[in-house]
Amino acid sequence: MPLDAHYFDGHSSRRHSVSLAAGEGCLLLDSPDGMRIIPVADIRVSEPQGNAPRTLRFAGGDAFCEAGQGPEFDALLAALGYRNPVAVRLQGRWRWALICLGAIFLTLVACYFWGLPWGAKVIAPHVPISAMHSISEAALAQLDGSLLKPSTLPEERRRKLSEGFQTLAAADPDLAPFGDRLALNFRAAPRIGPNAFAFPGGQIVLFDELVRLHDDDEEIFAILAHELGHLSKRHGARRLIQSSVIAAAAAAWLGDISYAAVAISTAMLNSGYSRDMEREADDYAAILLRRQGKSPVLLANALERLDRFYQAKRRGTETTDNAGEKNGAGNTAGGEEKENEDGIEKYLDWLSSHPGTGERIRRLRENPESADR
Amino acid sequence: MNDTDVLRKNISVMEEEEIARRLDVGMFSDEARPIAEEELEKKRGAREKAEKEAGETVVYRLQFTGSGGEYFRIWIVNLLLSVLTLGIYSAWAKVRREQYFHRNTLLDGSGFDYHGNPKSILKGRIIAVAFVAGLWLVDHTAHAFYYPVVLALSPFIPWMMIRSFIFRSRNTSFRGLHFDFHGTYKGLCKTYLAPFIALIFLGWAIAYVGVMGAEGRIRPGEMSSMIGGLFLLMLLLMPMLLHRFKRFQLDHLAFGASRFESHFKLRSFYGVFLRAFVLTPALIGVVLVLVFALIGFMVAQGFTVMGALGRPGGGIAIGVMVALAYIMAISVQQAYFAALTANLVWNNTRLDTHAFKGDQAFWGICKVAASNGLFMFLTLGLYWPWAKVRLARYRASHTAVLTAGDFDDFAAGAAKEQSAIGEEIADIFDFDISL
Repeated sequence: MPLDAHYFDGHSSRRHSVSLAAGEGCLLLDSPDGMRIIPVADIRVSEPQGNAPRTLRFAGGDAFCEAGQGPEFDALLAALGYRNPVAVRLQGRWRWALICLGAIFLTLVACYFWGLPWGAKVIAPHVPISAMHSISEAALAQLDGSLLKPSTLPEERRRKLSEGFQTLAAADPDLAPFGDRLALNFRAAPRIGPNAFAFPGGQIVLFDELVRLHDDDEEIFAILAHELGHLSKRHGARRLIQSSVIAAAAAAWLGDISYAAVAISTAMLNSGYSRDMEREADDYAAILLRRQGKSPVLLANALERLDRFYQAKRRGTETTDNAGEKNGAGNTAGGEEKENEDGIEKYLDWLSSHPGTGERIRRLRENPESADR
Repeated sequence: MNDTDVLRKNISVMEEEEIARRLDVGMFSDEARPIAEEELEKKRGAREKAEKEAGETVVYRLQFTGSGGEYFRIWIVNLLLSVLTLGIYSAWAKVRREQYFHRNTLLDGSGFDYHGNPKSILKGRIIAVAFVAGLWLVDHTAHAFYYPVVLALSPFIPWMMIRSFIFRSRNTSFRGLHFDFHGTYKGLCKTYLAPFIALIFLGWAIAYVGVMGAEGRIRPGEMSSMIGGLFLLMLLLMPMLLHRFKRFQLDHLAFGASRFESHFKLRSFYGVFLRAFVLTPALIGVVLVLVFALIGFMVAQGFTVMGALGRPGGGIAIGVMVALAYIMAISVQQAYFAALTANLVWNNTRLDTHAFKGDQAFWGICKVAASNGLFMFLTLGLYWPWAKVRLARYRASHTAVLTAGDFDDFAAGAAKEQSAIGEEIADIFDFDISL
């Protein structure tokens, strides 16, 4: 049975009424001007696109036929021996669509939890430290102009800490590629409070406030060991790679909705990685300390002291009282106090870059052997 | 007589405009909608035929026949295959997507078509990715060279834009004739460069004044008035930029051998910006007042904002509400701005003896875009295909071609194969290149 269609010659927009029928391995195109016979091999059938009219394009030129969909059109295609490509057959069924949705979800989850961290871990050691170093120098210079002030610690104290730091770093051969770039920088940061951080280029910055908070230098070395962990495990380069990939993926998925949505989801996904890195740096510090015959509990104590300082600051009490306390080691009162807040802390854990301090202290204390794995 | 017949009888006595209006605002039930659409088509066809026979100007409305569910299935298969092939399939996916939207857009019963070659799109995408990766590497390893490199590459941007226009128009066809684009590199620079540089300069000046203020070199009062003034200049420049851009696009566009001609005024673009950026915020203001009234009511019922913020769930709930309101508002704002621009462009463009008409309206757009924003939010973006189809349907049904006769008399121009490099790079750098 012939099928009514429109024919366009590709030279003008004129619409010609024709009728189509299937012959032996060919298409019969019947128009007022006469009958045309077109071999099946010269015909390109458009993929079905919902209710849209289908087209049959003919080799050598822009001529084509346009016909509405329906059983008659399907019958014509069947008679011509046309079969839909795989992707079109997948698109036709809801069941396949849902399977695809599940597969995408699983792939993305696997990439987030395993693929991306693994890829970043493999690539990170190949990122040149010299490049990271120059970026870090620029960043440090910028901070020096605003938040950071020159250190006011006595020369003698600084020398002692620097020597201890070098001994600590020498214990890990993985730090050798940093060479001279590995340096301990002293700064005062009255607006930030006690803290220390590592730039991916090898610069570790130690605040006077942190040094003053800890009377025991061994606790300061424990914190420096944690910072060295970020360097040794190349967390800077890994973070850079991971966050770039995540930002690109989030922009591809949500970029059409809003840039705020992209920024928020990127930050949330990245924070998951940050927490893993803090744990990794803690484990590393435990190993490094043990290698020098020290106890990982030192880091736990240092963290606890810091935690107590910041909690006191939040409550608005005099901070100096707290810093003056001398019963730090072995005191678990702070830990117990936090048990009550565990609910909120667990929930905040998802949003904050550092894992709950309580959890980290417990990890280092309760399971000091875990680091030996 | 069964229910369907009763419905059909009731609908068939309505005027064409009345059916279209009721379809727009969703006044038909699920059973009645297909019948109404069918009746609308019938009436439209009859009117067009009658007008044509009487030698009057016929209004041919564009019609979009796609559905969200259908496009979702195409989209999800595209996405999976793209992920599994590490992005290689995305070139084929793009062709499928473009073809779905082109072919389902009908004018006088004939569909548009898209002919982009996936292999040249893939080639373009590879170059684009290499381009971006190269810039990323320079930014992160030799930052000092980043801006010189960007500056050195910037002359390629107009070139990429031109390539992208040419690729897109030559690969779009209607009734067997291809569109074409005749703009040149020099032409684009001439119309676009001066206001563009002025815009960049203003952006830089705002940042500079901000830094001076932050460093305390100028007083805060001076800083805010300077920034306000610069910002106002920037706002005044934007309509000019868009006007020139649209003029360039339309005046160099061709269908077969026929050229489009645009005659929209710069003045009207200021009107577009004023309406899009005043009316929408005003509406958002009304919504905010309602939201605060609701919160006020809840407070009266013993609910306190601080109490809610104190509890983890409460803070999240308030954050979610604010984010939702923001996304819905942005969604409406973007769609309404695009609608006003489209109306202005189409109402002031001709192709030979044919004219165009755009009559997208605020409430129609608002309804489609706000609900799109809501569902996108609730489904974490999975509603995207439905959102895109609903907007396409609204846009098509509010765009028309006015003609005294039919579309039989266009002739083909000389068309050539084009590479997709420009378009794909432009795609990644997020230029708006859609007509």
